[in-house]
Amino acid sequence: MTGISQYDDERVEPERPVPMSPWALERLPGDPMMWILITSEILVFGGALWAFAGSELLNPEIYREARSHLNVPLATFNTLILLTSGLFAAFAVRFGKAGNTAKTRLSLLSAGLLGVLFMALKIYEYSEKLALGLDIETNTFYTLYYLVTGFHLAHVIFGLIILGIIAAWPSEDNLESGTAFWHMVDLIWVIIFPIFYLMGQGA
Amino acid sequence: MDRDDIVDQKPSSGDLVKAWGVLVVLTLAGYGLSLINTALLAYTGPVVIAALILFKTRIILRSYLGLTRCPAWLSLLSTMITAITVVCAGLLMVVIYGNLH
Repeated sequence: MTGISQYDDERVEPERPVPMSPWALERLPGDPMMWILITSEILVFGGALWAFAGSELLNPEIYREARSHLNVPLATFNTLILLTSGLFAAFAVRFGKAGNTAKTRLSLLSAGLLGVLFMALKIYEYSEKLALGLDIETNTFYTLYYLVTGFHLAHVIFGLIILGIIAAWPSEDNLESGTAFWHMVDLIWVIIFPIFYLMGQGA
Repeated sequence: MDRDDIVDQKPSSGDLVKAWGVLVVLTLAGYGLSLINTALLAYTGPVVIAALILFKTRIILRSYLGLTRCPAWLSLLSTMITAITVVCAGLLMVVIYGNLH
């Protein structure tokens, strides 16, 4: 006899809540994989922007001349369109959580239409450049300009497809994940626009 | 801990509209800055525009993406964006300094 009751082993400790790590993916809105994607997209675009800025060290005159052909007012207007589209996407999540499917779909439709307008204006901007003979092979500036803004435009198109899917199936998880992708498209443009169009204009 | 236990700190519709308004003002301020062509701005312009980028992206991360409920991820993404922006603005400053001297 050891003095320890056979029942001691069976005593059940009250379950203590395990503190959640600040890095826990469960804290994030939507599907955690969407956040892995968002993080990697920022890294990819960041690398391209560093390449763009680094290349300016080697070709300062080419960059200065190339910047003079950019349509800054149009790009500014396009930025406002994308920011407004992001606002409607954020509204869609709120309406979705409130269970208002009609308003959710209307907000997603508004976000999508503004996305289409962004796309149309971007294509118009490309046609303007091509009419001036400024194509992807003109110089380093325009190679990176078409690559980075074109890659972003591909994300806008993919984002529009996602908005369409979540409008068809507006569950809370779908809304949070889909709009997170759309906000990422917004976020990337908010970085690309000033670096390509605004920085160096006064130089 | 379940996902449902996480306190939802998403901003209200009014806060979203305010955040959008600030983003619009900052975008127009950036455009206005690019129109001014002075020697002082040649040096300070990239720094001011970098600051605008950081401010705007912070608003999108907090208000649109709702990252206030996960500060660690907010810090990670903010740090990444800061690194991208600071390097780009720094390289441009080097170019501008080379042009002016």
